[in-house]
Amino acid sequence: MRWLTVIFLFVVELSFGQASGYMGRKLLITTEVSFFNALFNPNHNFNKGLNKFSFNVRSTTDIDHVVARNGSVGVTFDVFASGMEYAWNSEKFDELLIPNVDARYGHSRLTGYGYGINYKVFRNPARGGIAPVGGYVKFDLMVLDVRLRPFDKANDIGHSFSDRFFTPVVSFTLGQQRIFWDFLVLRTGIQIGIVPMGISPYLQSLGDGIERGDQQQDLRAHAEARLMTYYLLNVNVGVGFLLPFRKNYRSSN
Amino acid sequence: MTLKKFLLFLFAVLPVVSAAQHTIKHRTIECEGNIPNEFLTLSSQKFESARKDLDDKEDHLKETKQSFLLESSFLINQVLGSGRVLFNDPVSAYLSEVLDTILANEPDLRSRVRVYALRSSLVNSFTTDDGIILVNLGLVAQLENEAQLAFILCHELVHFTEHHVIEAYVQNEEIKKGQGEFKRGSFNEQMLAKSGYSKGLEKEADRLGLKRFLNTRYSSETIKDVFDVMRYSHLPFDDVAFDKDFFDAAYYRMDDSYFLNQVRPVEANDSENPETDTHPSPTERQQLVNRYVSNATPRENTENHLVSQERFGNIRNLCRFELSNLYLKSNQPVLSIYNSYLLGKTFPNDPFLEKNIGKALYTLSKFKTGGNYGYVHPGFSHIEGESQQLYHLFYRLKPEELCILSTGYIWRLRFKYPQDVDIKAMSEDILGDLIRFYHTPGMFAHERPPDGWDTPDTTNIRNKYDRLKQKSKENPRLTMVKYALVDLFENDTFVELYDRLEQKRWGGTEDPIAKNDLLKKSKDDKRRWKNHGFALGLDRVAVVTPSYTKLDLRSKQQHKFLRSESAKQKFLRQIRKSTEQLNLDSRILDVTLLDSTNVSTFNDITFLNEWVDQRFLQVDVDMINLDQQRVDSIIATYGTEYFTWTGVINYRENKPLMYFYLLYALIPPAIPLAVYYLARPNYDTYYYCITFNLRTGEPVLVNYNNYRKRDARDLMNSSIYDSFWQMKQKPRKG
Repeated sequence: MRWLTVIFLFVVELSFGQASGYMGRKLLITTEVSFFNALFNPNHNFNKGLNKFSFNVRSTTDIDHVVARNGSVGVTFDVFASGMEYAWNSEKFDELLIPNVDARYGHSRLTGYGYGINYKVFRNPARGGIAPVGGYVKFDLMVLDVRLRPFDKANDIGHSFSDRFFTPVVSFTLGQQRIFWDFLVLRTGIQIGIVPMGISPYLQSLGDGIERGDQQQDLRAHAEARLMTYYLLNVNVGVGFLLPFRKNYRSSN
Repeated sequence: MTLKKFLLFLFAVLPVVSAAQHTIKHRTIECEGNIPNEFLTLSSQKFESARKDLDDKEDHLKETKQSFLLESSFLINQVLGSGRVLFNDPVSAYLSEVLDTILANEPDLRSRVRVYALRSSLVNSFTTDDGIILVNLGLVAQLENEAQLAFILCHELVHFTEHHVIEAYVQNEEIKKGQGEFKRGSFNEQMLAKSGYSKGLEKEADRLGLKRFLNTRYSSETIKDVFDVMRYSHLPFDDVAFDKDFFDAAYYRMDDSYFLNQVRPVEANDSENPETDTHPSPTERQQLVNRYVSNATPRENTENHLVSQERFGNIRNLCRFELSNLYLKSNQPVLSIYNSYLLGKTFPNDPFLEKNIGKALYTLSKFKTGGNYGYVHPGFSHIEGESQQLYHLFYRLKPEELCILSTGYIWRLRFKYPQDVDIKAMSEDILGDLIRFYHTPGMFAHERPPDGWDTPDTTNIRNKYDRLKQKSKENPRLTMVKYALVDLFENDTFVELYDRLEQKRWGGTEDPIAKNDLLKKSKDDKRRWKNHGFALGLDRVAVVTPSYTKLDLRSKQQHKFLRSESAKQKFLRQIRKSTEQLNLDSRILDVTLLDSTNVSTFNDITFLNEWVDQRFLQVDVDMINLDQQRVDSIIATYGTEYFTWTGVINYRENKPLMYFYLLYALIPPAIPLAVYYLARPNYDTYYYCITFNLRTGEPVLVNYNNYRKRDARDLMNSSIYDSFWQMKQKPRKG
């Protein structure tokens, strides 16, 4: 709650900045879908590869407030779901994290939420980037609340065990935001994200494979490496609206 | 009344009456009365009505004629709305009366033709296909009598009655398309064909025009001289030697070395380019007219003036006075001085002419000091006739000398016309320049020189120093610099300002600003603008002639007239909506929004558009307003000092670098990108919004947005709202 208050105060403070917004309206709520083909890692249904035509998908809800002619701040709420391959190997660890888990559970499903703040810098106003319309670069700082559950893909059964941990994500998006009929917001972009805790295990996975301490640490390292690839590159498409819907005009001659 | 009182009255009044004959209280010619409907009707409406007439007729050239109607409706409206076409003014009224005289027996034709004066210094006249005859003030200024004017109007009438304008357009289009006999023509042959056809029409207009003219009671004696007007149309209205002592004052003498011994002889403009000229040469036309006149039945009771000789003289003088103004506004100050000089021969000490010369000198000095002299001085070598003397003089004068000359002239004017705010403002500014850029301590003598100061005395030479001392009296710097302003130093106002400026310049009262501070300030301003805009804190603004141009550079008719007009209407609505939402009191000054009674607003729009055209050049050289009185009255009328010019230019063109996109297509992973580029239309949109503080003449807000996209509603709305929001926004502290 404390950090929400801090964000709120931050937004209120910046709101006193001078910004025209779109026809005077500065608040936007948008939902976007970020996706990328699951080429090398499974999606939440544990499918991967081009032949499966499978995608990793994530939905994001943004509440943005225009605070300058070329910028807006916002809060981000992410809902994500993906999958990873993880072999529960009793030879590798003295004691398995989950007793009685067997080789059928060769996957794990990663789900959870992300909470963050973002700042969008719109392109130079002289190039037509007057917030909230035009091309922008968005910087996102998020904390992911990750839940991890082993999964038996063949029988479509999830294990009762669940692990939960938090990890930060930093991302930036190159995008375009347009407004139709003076209220409908459409947004497209390409996002590049980094999970800092996942960089080292991800690099290890490219070489000899990940191996970390006890099994819980190893599992989380695998999950973070997977989240790193999950956030690494995404295309997103969003839709939303401006608030308030309609501005009252004094009169028209 | 007793005889004595009557005689006293007569003696008192006579000098005034006689002086009045040579005094014209000139002011800029402006439109008067009600605005004619054709100035207010939308181009699209004019086009629709003309197209209906065309639709009723069977014509295999209908399509070409339609595109002519479209183009001409919009272009004519542009000219009519520009404010350069005068209506109900003395010149247009007089032109109408001459036309009435010519068409006295043809009321039907008279009702279809309108004649207006056009504020242009060029010697020319035009006719449109819908019956508007435009006669340039520059042409009226050069004519010798009313009969010559009547002949020109007869010529223009034929262009209308014989539909020459549309015929020429259709013919040119046929030639361009290579239809019929032009199928195999080369480019040069096509140009020749176009030129030949146009000359044919001109000859027909001369022939039929003369026929019509000979049906009037105007004398044909001097109409052949009309072609001399054309031959020498590149010269001022007269060619009189310039007095070398014209600028001389109490102790100011212009040195002889600044004048040419001989000016370039005048050449008649009679050469003909068979490929590009649209008119036959004046000689050919003159011969043709002479032949027709000599073959015509002799007429009796003909006169050179049927309306009035006095009216003609007055109207011509009015046009000549206005030329001084027009030359100045079209950045030809030297010509403006020469024109005023010529008029000054007939109207000595005329305040308008004197002030005009002051303004021209001020302009020349500012541009010479500012380093952009080429904008206002085209060089002297190609100038013909006596005006070359002036061009040479202003070419040779050094910036410092020109500034001193201007300062002296303008300050003397100030003493003569102390109430004139324009002269007062100019005098203070030019003195500021003199001190800031050229002044050195002891540069000017403050007291009158002793007798014989400029005449070497060779009678009592004792040694070489005596000889040198006497010789130094011949140095032009004595008369053009040292003693140039002596008479001004006898005036307290001048001395007070001079001392103040001198103290500021040399007394160290100006705070030096470190270069780094300036750089830092500039960076801070840029960042602040990017984040928060200009923030002017205005409550009221006037928006002048918003414009919207849509072009399609891929098609034959590149200007999309109809779409431009409808986009402009939306643009106006959006401006209104944005300002209302911002609670910013705004007034849109656009001809399409006026009714017929708003002639003063029409004149204001004209003035403001001319003002801003000049201002773009003047701002660079830090010039003040040259017409502060008019500016003040406009500010009072609209209740704001802030006037905005805004517009949009949107165009679509063919994609450049097609091979580049094809290269994309050859690289498989880039195929989607190539498809996107190929499918995406190539648009470019420019939005501009410039707000001037009319009083100071400074631009206070300059927004210039460029989108490589079509002019989509959200982009336009966003830009428009943002511009007005910046005007409304209060500046931040610090």
